[in-house]
Amino acid sequence: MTVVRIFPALLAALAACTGTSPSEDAATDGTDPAASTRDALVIGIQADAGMLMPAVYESATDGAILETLSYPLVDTEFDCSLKKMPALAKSWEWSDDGKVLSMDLRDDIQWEDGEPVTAEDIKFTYDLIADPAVASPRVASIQYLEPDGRPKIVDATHIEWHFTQAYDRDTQIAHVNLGIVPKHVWENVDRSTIRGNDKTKQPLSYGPWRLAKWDQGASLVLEPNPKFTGPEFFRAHLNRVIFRVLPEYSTRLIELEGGNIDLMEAVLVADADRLREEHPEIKLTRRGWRSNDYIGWNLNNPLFEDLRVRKAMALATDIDGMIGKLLTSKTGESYAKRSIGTITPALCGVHNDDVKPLPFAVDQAKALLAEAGWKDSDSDGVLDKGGQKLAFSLLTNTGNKRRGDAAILFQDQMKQIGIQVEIQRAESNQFFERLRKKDYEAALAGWAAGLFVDPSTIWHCDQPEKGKKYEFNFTGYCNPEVDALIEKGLATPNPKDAAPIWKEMQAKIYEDQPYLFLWWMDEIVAINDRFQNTSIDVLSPYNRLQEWEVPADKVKYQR
Amino acid sequence: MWKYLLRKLVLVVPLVWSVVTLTFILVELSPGDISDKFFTPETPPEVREMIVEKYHLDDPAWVRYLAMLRNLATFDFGRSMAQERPVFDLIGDALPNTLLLSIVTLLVLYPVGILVGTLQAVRHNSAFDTSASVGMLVMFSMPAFWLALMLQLAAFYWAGTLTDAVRAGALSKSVADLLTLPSAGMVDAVMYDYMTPAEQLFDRAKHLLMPGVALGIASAGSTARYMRSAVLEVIRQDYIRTARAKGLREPAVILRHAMRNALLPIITLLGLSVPALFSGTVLVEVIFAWPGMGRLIVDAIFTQDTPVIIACFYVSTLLVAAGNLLADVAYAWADPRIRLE
Repeated sequence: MTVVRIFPALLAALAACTGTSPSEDAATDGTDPAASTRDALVIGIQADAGMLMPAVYESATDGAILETLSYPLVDTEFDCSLKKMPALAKSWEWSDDGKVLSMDLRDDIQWEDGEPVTAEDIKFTYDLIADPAVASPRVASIQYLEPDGRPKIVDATHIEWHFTQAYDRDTQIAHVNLGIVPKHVWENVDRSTIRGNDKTKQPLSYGPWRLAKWDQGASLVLEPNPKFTGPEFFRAHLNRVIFRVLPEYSTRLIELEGGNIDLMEAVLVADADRLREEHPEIKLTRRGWRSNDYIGWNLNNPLFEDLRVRKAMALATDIDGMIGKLLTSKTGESYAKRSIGTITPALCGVHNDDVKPLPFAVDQAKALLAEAGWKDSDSDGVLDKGGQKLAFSLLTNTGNKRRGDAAILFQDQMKQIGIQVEIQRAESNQFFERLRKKDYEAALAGWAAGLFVDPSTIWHCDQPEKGKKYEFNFTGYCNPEVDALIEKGLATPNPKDAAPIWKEMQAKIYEDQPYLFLWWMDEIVAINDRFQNTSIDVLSPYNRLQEWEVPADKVKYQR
Repeated sequence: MWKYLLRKLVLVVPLVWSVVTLTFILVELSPGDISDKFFTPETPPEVREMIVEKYHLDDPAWVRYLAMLRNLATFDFGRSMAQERPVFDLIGDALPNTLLLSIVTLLVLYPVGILVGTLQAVRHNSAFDTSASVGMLVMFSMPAFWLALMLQLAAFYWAGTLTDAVRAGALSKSVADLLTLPSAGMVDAVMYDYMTPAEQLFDRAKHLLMPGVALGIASAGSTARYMRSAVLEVIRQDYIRTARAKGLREPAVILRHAMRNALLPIITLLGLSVPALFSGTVLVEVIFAWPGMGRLIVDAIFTQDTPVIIACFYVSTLLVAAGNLLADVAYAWADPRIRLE
């Protein structure tokens, strides 16, 4: 339903910057920096890149491509949590109150056109994001930054980020680690039409790759940036990376099988077996738990008021069986696991593994319903109480086979315990609008994982006195204890200290069963096995692209 | 003639107006708007508010409608809300690709339809006639998107066969490469830049083949049907008998006398098939990853990019109107009995 937006530039490297001299010489004396590079990677993407401009880009593809063009302030890697390594910022430290983050910058990083990357560029980037005329999707990054401290330039190589409050340090790093905009290029453009400016199609690189060619709507080519002045280990190893725009899933699949593309995201479980059997050259990898499905109860509806009813429905749903039918390949590879909340298991220090999902126990479910006063008094197979039947509609979106099938399985299981479910399907926009307006009884929907914990958008009570409405709290869930935990967790700077708070919150929400939590899904990425050192992970299907390589004896494309 | 043209041109105005108005109403009726894409837990609500303000999305519908009409009247399509690029540029990028695809399709598949239809009429009621009739009917009834998917599948197995042949030593690698049919895109995105101009031209032609067939085969089918009945009608005329009686050889009778006259209704058909080609491109372009108008429309609809949707329908309507007009004129030019008044 939502696109994972990855905030920081997330190209990672293994070692700290050791001050390897930038290969200026290589670029100027005519030596071809691509001499040691080989082979090309062809990636099939569903939609073309849009705006290659850090302040306004929107799609995950834009974000991933921009990362290849940049050398981030802080180099980050994701493994349960964010690992932080020096890059453009040689070092950093927080003030004692957690409100000032000072950084010491490298002075040898250059834009592709030879201009140095400066503190002024960073400041300019955040000025753009703060400008309402730009309507930047990145404004979340400046919400806790002081207007004159984003950042404050101490001198050419020292900057200070001033926050209005201390909060989770990983999120603070993510907020200051956005891709940088070259001031000398963008200084004098009309800010209200930045998205349409041709310069968003000609991004200036300060990273290992540069944009070599872009046939809009058709293909986009990256090549190693000969003017990259960062450390040697950050240089690109492949000759070219070609993104081919192939809107239709079946076209991408056929191009993958025919060897015309090397990498494809979001392969369906139904195709996984065949790929594995017929194409030994294609490797299937997993990106980690990136999205979930759930059935949300509209808690404003009296039917769902009673916890016993919600719990009974969870007990009567054979979720493992559904995973076996819908998200497991015929050879038994499962691409889903049961969920207990909206925090992804990929955040392994934060996800609460101690919460055990409810068992599949129809008898317990029936007992709970009886205890709550529901019985079939007119013997029509549907439970009732006080003249009202235990019947409701389940809304889901069209065009999603998995959810459609899950809805039918759920409907069947509810019938076993005397609950009548009518399935309603709505086109995505309408579906979304009805969730927003809470114009539904129960809804089968899903979330994409956020890698920075902020459960407030989904679980916090509305605060009319503060004029604050949590629009993604589709179920109308409200538990003051959970609110207190959320607020406490968000204000805790050290992620290690926050983890137990988040775990407690997950346990409390699971007890309340505002959702029938179904599963987290693992996205399958297919890649040709000639590539080595690949990072296909929860951050990006083509992370740390500069490190990807092909052994000499397996090269497919000579250029 | 000129009066006729002028009257037709004036009639285009209400036509375009009604299409644009209908499109606007449909877009209005569909829930949500462009700001919805910023409706994610990670995006602060202010962003959506800024977008709403920027594009006046909270203005009453009639205000936006009038603004749109004002802009369209001056050929100002505005800027895409999704990309903020001028819509004119977006269409400028996409339209040539669609025209290339449709015109090549017309030029290649119409003659095929005409030829088959004529042969059928000449060998009326033969086995060839019957089987071609069935074949053309099948082609005519096949949905373009289905055919597109089947063609991709066929090309995939064809490529497999070629690879096997190369492995078995029956074919050289370069010949196999030459024979491989690409199933997506306008050019070979990986190697195009390293080809010689001749290779590039060949590559482009190869990439046109499958989308062209998928798009045009239904038209070819219907052309053949029309052509067959037209030739059959002409062939019974007295002047054909006269031609035969004066000793002309059969090919001359058919080519010079029968076909020429039978072609007249086909000219009209040509004009009328422009809308079919245009709507056909929508799905075919998505499947074959062809960056044309069809894909532009689909993307715009999914992102609720109103200015682009409206402009696409506007341009399509103009093209269809132009196609019809052209057919009228061509008809008058080809048949001296017709005068446009």
